[in-house]
Amino acid sequence: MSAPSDPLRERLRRILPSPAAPVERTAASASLAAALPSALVEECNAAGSFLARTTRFGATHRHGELELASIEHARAADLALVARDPALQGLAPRDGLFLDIETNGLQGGAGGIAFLVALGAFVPAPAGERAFELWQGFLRGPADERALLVEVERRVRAAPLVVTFFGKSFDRHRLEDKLRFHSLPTPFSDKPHLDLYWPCRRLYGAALPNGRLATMERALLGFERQDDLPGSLAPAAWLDFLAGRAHRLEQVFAHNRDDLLSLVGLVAHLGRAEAGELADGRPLAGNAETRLQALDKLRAPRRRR
Amino acid sequence: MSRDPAPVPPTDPLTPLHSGGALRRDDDKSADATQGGARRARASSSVEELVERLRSDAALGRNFSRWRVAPQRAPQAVDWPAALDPRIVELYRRRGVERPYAHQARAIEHALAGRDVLVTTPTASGKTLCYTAPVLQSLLASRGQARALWMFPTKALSQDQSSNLNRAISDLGEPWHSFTYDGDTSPSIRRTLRERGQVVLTNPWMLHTGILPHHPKWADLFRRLEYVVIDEVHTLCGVFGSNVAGVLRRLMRIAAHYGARPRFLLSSATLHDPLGHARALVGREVELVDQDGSGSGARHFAVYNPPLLDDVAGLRANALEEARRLAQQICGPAHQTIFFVNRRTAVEVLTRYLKEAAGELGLRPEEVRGYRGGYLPDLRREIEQGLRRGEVKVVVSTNALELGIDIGALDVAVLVGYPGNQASFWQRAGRVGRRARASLTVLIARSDPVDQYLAAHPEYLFAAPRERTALDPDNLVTLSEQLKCAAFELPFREEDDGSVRGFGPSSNVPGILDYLAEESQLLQKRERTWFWIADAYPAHHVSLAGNEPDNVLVLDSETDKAIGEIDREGSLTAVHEGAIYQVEGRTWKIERFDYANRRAYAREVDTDYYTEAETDTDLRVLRLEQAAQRAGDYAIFRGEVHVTTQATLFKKVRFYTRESVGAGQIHLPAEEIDTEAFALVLEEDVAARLELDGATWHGLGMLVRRVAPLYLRCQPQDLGLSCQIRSAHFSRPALFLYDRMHGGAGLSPVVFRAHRELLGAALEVARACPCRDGCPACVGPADEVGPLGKAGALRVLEHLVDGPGPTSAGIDVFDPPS
Ligand SMILES: [Zn+2]
Repeated sequence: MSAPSDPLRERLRRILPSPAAPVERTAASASLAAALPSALVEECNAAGSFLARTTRFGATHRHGELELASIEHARAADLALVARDPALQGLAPRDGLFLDIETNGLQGGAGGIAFLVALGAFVPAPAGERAFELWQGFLRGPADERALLVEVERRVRAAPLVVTFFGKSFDRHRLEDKLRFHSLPTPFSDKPHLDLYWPCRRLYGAALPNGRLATMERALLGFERQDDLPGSLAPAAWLDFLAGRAHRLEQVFAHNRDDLLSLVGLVAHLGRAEAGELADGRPLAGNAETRLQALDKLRAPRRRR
Repeated sequence: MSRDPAPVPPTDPLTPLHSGGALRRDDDKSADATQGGARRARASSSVEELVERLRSDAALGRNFSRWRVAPQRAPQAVDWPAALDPRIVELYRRRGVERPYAHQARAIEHALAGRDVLVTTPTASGKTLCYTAPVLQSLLASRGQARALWMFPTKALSQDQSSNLNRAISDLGEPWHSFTYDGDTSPSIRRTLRERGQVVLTNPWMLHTGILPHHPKWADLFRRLEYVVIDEVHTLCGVFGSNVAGVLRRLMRIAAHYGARPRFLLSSATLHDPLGHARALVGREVELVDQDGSGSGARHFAVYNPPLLDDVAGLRANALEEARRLAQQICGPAHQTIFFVNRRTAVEVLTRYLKEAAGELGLRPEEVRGYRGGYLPDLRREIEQGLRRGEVKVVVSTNALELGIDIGALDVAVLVGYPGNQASFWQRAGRVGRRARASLTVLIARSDPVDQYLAAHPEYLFAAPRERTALDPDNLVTLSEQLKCAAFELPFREEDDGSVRGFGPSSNVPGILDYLAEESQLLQKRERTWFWIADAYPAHHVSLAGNEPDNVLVLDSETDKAIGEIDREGSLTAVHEGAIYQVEGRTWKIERFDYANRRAYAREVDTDYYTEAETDTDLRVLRLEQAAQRAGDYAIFRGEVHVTTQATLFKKVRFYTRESVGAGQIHLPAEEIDTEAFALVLEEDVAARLELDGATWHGLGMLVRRVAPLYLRCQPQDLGLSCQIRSAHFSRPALFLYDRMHGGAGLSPVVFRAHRELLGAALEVARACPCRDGCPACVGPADEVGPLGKAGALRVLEHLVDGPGPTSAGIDVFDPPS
């Protein structure tokens, strides 16, 4: 490493454009070099290692006004209709693998990095019931990327269905880009994929200010986030962590967890779209008028252009 | 299939080379009686007869400084290389290429043997075949699995080539595709193209921002990439070329990442040091194919020097006016003539004149056309087709017809002014000459030192190229910017010895990566690897042409339309408030210069004066890197300098009489750049003996700068000049030529190597110039260099040129002679 006062360094300072103001970062201080989020363990495979945290939620865990178990009553046919995807017909919604990523802020390109990948699935629990298992794979640095992707690829390949919010347009492509970057196979081709963004837009877009997940979860699930770190600050939190300041990372994990639990809630909701009420008889939240209009359109035979 | 006219089988000498030969029209049914008479009178004139007429013309003949003829040359055809797939041989035979030219066969052999190749034969020698055949072979051999990337300097060229290539593939009966990937490619079909195209044709800008940063989407292409084809590599020089060399390093790193090692197939106009140029560009030793095996008819060349109007002032007749006079002798229905001019408005002026004069030339007005960038594509296609079919007899063009575009071969080229470099000269000249038919190229010299040098030394044009190209991908700014982009695409790994591989030979690479990590915070170094971490796309902020975003736009205050653009440093003297800004003959007065927003507002005015700004240029030496001396006499250096340019005041000068009619102050901040410079330092007693004064030193510097394009590929304005009669650093007279590009553009090392030739050419020009005390074609007008300026400059140049050149013996860069 060159000393800060060497001639090359001085010359570069003179002739290179001064660096653009970096993304908002917090000044270094000892108190900010907090420990990593709790319960992270190192996972190893042939490609290297990375960190991961596994969290279990009981079937009765409430996310907003819904229990996670309510997904049991979601109907595949309703989801196929609202997603306009017949391939979803025969798939049990609770068999889905729920996916959401946090990135270094880039919308694509070789330099984009998915530093946190959340994969959630219902698993058998000791009591004979099912529990929801959230797995969050995390990069300590770009060098961990390949090992994390190997594990993500393995998990996605094994799943019968992938569930995301806007993932057909974003998450999937970011992961596929990086899988190709590392010459790894991509598990997404031909994989049934339920992207909740479009159904939510179709059923409720006319009644809501925007189509963002935070808007949908508040309106449809009655979920209010506590101490949320907006997703847009996740890249800066990771860059802070790389610079030795891990203090905002726990919040990123929590935000990402809430994103994923909302995916489960939205499937439970949309899987009752035709019924118009939950299995326990409570009416569905959200604007019934726009929902019914959208369903009418969806049921009508597709017009040819 | 080839952009160049298809090679003709030598066994069949009667086949017209010109693709539209059969369609040539010799009728004059629509001409009126006068035209018919003139037409008949001129219809039978051959190029040989034309040459005779010009040589013996009472008024024009003595203005031709030298005639030269390259005799007819028979094509050298050879057998197809044995390794070439018979299906490809068959394809070309069906297209009338019974056997290839020797250079084509040699290029194909090299490529099929896995070697990188550079072909530098002239325009129209069938270069396209040299790289098309190997690419087709790789597709056949891999059953369509192989991939190739073709890079062209312009978009029009890549679209032409793509349709040619697709035709060849379909003639082979294969379902493969080539496609053009550029800014016009619609996003909706990009994905299909990426996955299904065997050959991708693109340009440096798209590669830089569109393909390389998104290489995972192109993983299939890179994994199977066998050939990288680059056309017109001589255009890749200076800051732009150096950046493209960086782009190619990035390309090769990515290919290596996916396990491929593609070979390069390059084509170029002839170059001073083709192998060195290719090495700097692609980082490899390539095989050179430079023996042209295509045939040609006799080629006549002449330099026409407009007559002197005023021999004291050295004033010559205007070159464009002379082109009109020559046109009266040259243009006619018997052959096709192309005029190359260097300005867009000159196209319009000359075209209008020739259309008006069409009747006297035996032509119909519609047989005379203009051609330049800015014409709509449909119109351009129509003119190109008219030229190919022989229907257009006269075309007046800018450099828009210099590169690539297929217009067939014409008969006479008139170059109004030297285009600035030998490659352009030969590309323009290469537009004429059909096989077995004579052709003529005339260069009209302007009142400019380079043009006048060529009028006196036309042999320069025919000798091996002498312009050195500045191509320096390891220039610190270029290298740093390209490393940013490269690090975004793939991490960099530090070797055990601390070096970094795969990005050229510079030992600065690790230090720059450290800087980008520690001070720019774009990268992070972990476990001996530098990774990109920032949420930014570096390629979007790195311009291949250098720091152009700082250019100043000149706007019409009434319409807000842009009328011109000028670089940052030039803006100080050209668009200060009160300046007269000239655009191709029209005059605009600058009313306001919004310095912070890089905009100047101008109003068109009728003036009888122009403005000349004076600047104080302060050049400070920061560090010297290289030195040589002629002991006790003069020394040369190369190194880093800091240049501060401050505009002080401007003079209003009346057109023609040059009398001063007023003056004003300029209030603008100083411009500062850190760059690289060449310095020539004269010993004090030598300067005293030669009676050197400031004006002489300046005139000499101006002349050396203006002849620079003879020996290095650049424009005079790329070089800044500072003539110090007593340099603070050297304590003696010093003349600096510096790169007017922040961070340097690689010209100063070239000036260092070529300085003897520059001084020699400057001396030749000053000596041969008929003016008495200086003029724009040599050291500058007498009122700038003073009454003794020309004589003084001659004395100093004679002294410098006489005797041996400087050597590095006994001189240390850190210890200037004292
Ligand atoms: Zn002169």
